[in-house]
Amino acid sequence: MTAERLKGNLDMMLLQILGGGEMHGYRVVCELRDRSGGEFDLPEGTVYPALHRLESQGLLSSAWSTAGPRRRRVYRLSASGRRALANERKEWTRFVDAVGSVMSATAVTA
Amino acid sequence: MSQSEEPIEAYLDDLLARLTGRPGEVRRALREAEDHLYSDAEAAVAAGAERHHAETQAVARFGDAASVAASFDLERRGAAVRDLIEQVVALAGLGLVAIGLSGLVERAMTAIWGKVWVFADAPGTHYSASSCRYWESLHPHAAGCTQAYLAEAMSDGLVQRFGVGVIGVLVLLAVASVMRRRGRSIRAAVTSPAAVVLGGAAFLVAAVVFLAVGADRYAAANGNGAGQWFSAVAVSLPFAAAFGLSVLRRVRRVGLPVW
Repeated sequence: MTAERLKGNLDMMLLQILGGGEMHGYRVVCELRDRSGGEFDLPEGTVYPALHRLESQGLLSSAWSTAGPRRRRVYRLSASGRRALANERKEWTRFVDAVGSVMSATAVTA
Repeated sequence: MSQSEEPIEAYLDDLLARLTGRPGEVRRALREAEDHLYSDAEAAVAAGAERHHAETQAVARFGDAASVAASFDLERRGAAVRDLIEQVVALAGLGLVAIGLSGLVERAMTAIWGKVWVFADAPGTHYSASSCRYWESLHPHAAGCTQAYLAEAMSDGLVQRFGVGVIGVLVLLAVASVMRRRGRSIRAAVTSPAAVVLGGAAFLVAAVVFLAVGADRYAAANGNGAGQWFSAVAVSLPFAAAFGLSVLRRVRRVGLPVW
């Protein structure tokens, strides 16, 4: 999948993953990798700036966790993030339905 | 094992050299990168991979340090622009509120020194008959054209300043609402280093300009109408002083910024 297409939808996917509960950055990246079946070829380090951006927009909150061998930044969805995710999902469903309808329609020859 | 033989440590050194921003932001980015890379490598080692190979693969998946640092930089600049916009809009809202407050001062000055000192034109100003008829129709109990004009000027002046003040309150509420969604308070926007310098300078310049215009009006128009400018000085000066004190406190605490 092209990086540009992935970047356009990265925020929505990160919100969706964190909608399942709080998790640290590495786990978010693993979820992204596993759920996509390894399809998304994105440098994993670039996910962190996206997480920081979502946090600065108030869609995520984060805190250091000391549970485990290393200090980890744990992210969770904020109330605004939940609302944003609900909107994104609605828009995504409409978009996928519309694209699906176009792509599955039988070509008409003049 | 030397540093060059430890791919993750070498990568973190490279990333640290490339990251820009406040120390806290850099430390956080580096610590998250470190946790990610070692978690990834340890998972591979646990699955049977050789340590050096696992670290090399983890680094490769993370992306080259230049791209990752550039991504952080891009997001940081975007956040800085958002912060600056919030600060400027919050300061503008504060300016509008100050105009509203100057309406209260204007009203108090009128009660103490009279409408002439606050709203009158220069002595000898001639008004057209149609203007006089219009003002007298709005203020039928006024004793003549000049009094009707003064009543109308006061009414217009106060309504305009109070209206602007209400708009300022709405602007501040809107900024506060947007910032609350980002988990921040509006206080952070108006007390940031850039905001206190910008706000202090803007209110100081406004106070000096209003004072100069008021003094000119006082001298040239025998004091008529000078009060409307001095009422603005009475509000902008305390705002300038408050921002100035904030700047001084900050300079005393952390020193002058190094550009």
